Amino acid sequence: MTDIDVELLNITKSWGDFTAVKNVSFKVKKGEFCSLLGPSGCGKTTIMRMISGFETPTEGIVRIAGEDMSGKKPFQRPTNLVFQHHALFPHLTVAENIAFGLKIKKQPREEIQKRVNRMLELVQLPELGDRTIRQLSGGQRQRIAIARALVNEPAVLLLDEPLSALDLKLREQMQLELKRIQHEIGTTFVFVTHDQKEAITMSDVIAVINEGVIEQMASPSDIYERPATEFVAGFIGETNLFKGKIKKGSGTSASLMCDGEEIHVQLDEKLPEGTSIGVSIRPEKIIWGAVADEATNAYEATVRETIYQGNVVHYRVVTANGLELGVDITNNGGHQVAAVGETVNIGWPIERGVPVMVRVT
Amino acid sequence: MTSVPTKNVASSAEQGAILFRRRRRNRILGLTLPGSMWLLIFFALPMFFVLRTSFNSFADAQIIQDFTFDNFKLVFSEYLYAKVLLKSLLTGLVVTVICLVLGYPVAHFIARKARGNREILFLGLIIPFWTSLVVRTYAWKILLGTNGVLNYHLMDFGIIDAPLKMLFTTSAVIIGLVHIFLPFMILPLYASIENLDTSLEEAAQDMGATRIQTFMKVVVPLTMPGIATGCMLTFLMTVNSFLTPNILGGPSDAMISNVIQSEFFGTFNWPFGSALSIVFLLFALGFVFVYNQVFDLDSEEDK
Repeated sequence: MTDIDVELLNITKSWGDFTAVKNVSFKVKKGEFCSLLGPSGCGKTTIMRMISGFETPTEGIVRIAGEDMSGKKPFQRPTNLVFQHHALFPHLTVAENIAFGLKIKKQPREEIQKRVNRMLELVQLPELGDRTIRQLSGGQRQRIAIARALVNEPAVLLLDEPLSALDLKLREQMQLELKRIQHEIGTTFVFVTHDQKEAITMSDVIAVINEGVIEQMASPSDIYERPATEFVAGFIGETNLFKGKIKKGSGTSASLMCDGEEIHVQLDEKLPEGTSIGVSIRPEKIIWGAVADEATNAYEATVRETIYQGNVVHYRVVTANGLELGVDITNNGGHQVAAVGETVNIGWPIERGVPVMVRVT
Repeated sequence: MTSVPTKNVASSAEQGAILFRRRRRNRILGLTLPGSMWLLIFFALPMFFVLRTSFNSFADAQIIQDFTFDNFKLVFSEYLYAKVLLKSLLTGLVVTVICLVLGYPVAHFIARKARGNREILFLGLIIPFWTSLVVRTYAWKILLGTNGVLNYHLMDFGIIDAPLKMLFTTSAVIIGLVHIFLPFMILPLYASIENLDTSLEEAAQDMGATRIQTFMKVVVPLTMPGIATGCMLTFLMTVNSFLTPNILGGPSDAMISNVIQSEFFGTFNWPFGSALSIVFLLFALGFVFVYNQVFDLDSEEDK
């Protein structure tokens, strides 16, 4: 027995000249909640459809629970899929929908009854078995869709943006609900989404996908705190990204020039001079009134824009040489809101800046 | 004091509303007028004359003004007519089933698989209508005749020694009818398959259903409105068909329309022909009524 539930090995998918997924490999551990996060058209849904068997990879191997899935049809795979628009059968009742997979597998009637009821309880809709699908609200439909998939006890549950059709409030509620369900049954979840907040809230591990390639696969906090690439830094949360070539460096300390300002950065590994690199610094990690020293990037800047957002104040500031930054300051009572045109000292300890890979065009 | 003008305002608003409603009603009446007139002149009036004629009597090749139920009694007492009616209904059933079995895969293919070629396939479905029904039916005569294309080639290849009797048989009639009415089955089927969300089929497969199970448990029940409509159209048109059994069938293949026609223009017994028509019409209406009840067509449509 392996503790890897989903494994993709050098998966490529192309249609004619168009390559949707390029040489993707990753593993999802048993019981993990893994999100495939990326903008629309990045290939995340294609990856999921290859796991479920609705698409065949052009190259590469999909393994589920250690078993090679090549040539296996969707109905032969130990996966179940929750569709974006629930795809519940309108001609069947709620209970019949959930029982569908069990009836196909010719389970005894009492067994079906028992498991359907258990599922209805799991999604906290025990009273709705006799309803038709049309009598359900959007959130209820999605819960039943999840119950219908989970009743088959799949090794892996695949979810294709199941919450995207719901309104914000309901979506947030369902995120917690999904998390609870996953915790309760311990099934491996692979969750496709374009919503970075959703991915961060729910996942144990996130694979950020862009143009058919996994940019980074790591825990939510690593994705946010230590983005590996320019794309990841920009796609997840707000960030300041400074791009330049490494000017000089001793060991893993380096600096680069961006918009006339020198920016010091701590590299993960030594890189040759002239390498194109980016430095990402989150707006909330910038210090207001910073003092320049060896360990700090500090600049004198002018406030160009002040956006008061209640819990935070968001500033756009620009240095004397023209480097523009976004700064978020928590409105904790100690902060004097600065007006446009005021001069401020801003900066950050060098280790807070994250070196990221940039695309050389 | 102030209530008086208020009341006036209200009542004039009410009057306005009444006027508006009346005008709207007039406009709707105006819009339905051409259709209603058309139906009145070309359907209701002729049907009334047929109904009236069916109560007349016929003697010495003369239609006599009368009010008698004799014609209807004859329709039900004469074994021949019941047989023709039964034969018509049976032919309708066979043709409908064949059309459904042949048409469903075609409709499914056009709706699901034929991405870029859909227009061409539709054209292929519609093009036969550019040729007259008579011409198309005669084409089958050439194909199936004793010295026809099919027999010639079968003998040429040495598969048979003597020509097969294919023309003027019930099979020939059924082949001709299936050919003519197949598009009327495919089009409604196509419409309802096209409307069916692909993810429903995928969901069924995802939960372990094979292609056949998916088809039987999801696709067929959800395309029932299309199946019902297609079957209804095909059945009614088949049972009503006149030309095809006339050209391709033998004497025993006469369907109800052929019998009615021979009453009107063979023996000129208009009263009896009318009675046959009325009985047949009632059968058809009864059938449609029962069918609607069973398949619940009206409520399925607004899903």
